[in-house]
Amino acid sequence: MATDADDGTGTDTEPVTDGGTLTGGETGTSHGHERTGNAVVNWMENLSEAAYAYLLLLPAFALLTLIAFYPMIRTFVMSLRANQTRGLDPLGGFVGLENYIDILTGNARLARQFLDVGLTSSFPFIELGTPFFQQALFVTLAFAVISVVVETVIGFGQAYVLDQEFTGRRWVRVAIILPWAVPIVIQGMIFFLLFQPTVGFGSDLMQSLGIFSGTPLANSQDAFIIILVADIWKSSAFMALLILAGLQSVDRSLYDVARVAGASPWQRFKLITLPLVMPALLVAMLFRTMDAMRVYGLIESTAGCTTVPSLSCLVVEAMFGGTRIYATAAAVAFATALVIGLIIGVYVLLFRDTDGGMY
Amino acid sequence: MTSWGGAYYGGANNLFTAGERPITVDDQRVIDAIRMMRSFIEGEEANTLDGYPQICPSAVVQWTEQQSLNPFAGGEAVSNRNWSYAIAETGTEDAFGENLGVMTRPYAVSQQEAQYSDIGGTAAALGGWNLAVSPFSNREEESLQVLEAFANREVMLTVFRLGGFLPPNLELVGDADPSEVGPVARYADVVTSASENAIPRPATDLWPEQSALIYQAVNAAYRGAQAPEAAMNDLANELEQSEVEVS
Repeated sequence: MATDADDGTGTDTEPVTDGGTLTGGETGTSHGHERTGNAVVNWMENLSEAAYAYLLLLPAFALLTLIAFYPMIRTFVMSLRANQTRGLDPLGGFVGLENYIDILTGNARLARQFLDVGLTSSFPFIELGTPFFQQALFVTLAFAVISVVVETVIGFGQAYVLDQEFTGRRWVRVAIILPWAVPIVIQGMIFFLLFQPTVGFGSDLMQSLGIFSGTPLANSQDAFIIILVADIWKSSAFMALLILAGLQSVDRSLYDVARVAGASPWQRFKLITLPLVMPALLVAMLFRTMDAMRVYGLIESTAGCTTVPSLSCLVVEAMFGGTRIYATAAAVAFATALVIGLIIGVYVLLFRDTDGGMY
Repeated sequence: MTSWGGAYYGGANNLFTAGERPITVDDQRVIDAIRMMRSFIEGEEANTLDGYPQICPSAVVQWTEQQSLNPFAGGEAVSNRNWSYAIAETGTEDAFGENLGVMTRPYAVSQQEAQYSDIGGTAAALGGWNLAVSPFSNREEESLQVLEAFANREVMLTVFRLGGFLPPNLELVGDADPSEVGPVARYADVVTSASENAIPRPATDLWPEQSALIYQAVNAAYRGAQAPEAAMNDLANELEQSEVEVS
């Protein structure tokens, strides 16, 4: 690895011109000042540590540009044009941000809207154009917030239990992690059948408790709860797994010291466990939040996208719905990416000072 | 809806030209059709129609066609509305055999009483596929040969025999060998009558978009999430907005 000391010895090489003749490293032998006989290696060794790191990151960044940023920019450009339902050209003329105004005001040509709220003169000053659970932005945000919070709490509990020494611990571990191994479509079918009135007991049970209507999979609010529970059932295992890894890296002797010092179990948790597990916990939460914001397969295999529209649902419906509304589809896709980006931004900002760091 | 004399866009001649056609989904006939369905699902409740008893489980609002066939095929329901392939499935000897009865859909408003042309009376949804050659094709000859093949008598009969899909040329239903066609042959007169009275969907380039709006509004009305009048008024507005895009 290049160091500052190497910089001094490297000044007498000719990095710029030699760098230009990459294939002909041997042609430079006549100069007689090359230690390795390879201009590129020399040049790389003379880079500062930071510059070397950037150099190594370059291929990954180029790949990211190609497969992520380029399509995003193309999507944005598409979203600035009009829908063209008929004719050879799949898109119409330039319309600026009109598609974004349409999707944010509930006027998009979609069966379910991205956002549909209006302003009123009386408290609480906003009113919903369509019910809360039929607007994709609210559905997705509510799903992400509730599922991640509940999964973190349950996952932490599970991990805490698994971190203790007891006989049969190995089998309990397998049992807790098992739901994570279930494919999304199978998971969806389980909950779909559970709430089919003639097949599963779910509908009758929940209806007799007065929580659900008779046909929960056709009711947006009931179906939202079903999908939420399905996700929590499965993904708590993922959280448990990551948090357990964090818990096991905690030095046990710290607890012994704390016990000798007379710390209560709550103090031991608050002052030792939590701070040390925090980095792992935050990474796990970030992963889950991103996943939850993209939810699609689980919805499609239980209640369907018209009953519970998520942001990804809307993109798929607009793009592959049948009627050609590619500009709207692009606008919804770009807006979805922005929303997810904002949420991740919140994580990075909130937790940048945390020990271990988020990034 | 059609058997109640209701229509999406007035008469059947408006089905395939989006843009400047009347929107008639908020018509009383359409609303009556929805109220009848609510009677079938709920019995005597709000927004139902007198004289129609409860005959189906409330779960029908979250079923697709195939799911609705299962209780019937399992002997738990006395009737089911479905496509001709359902006859092929439930009319075999190891299923219901000759005990399976098939009829065209009953109707509330006859064609003579209906307000729009070719609407009303018994009706069936016209299923199937439309084949067309793209005007931008540079292999028109070959494409036309494919289309001609599908119009061939033998090909039509083969599709009928293997899949239970009715041939576009209805005369062939009588020509088919009953032993090869299977159970559908027993009900040839009924399926022919249903086909003669079939009504196509308004299959324009806007239909996928409009169909999503329609099934959502109708399902909300069936469930009672919205009153039929309100649901159909909202739907009419949405359809009007959608039609503006191509007018």
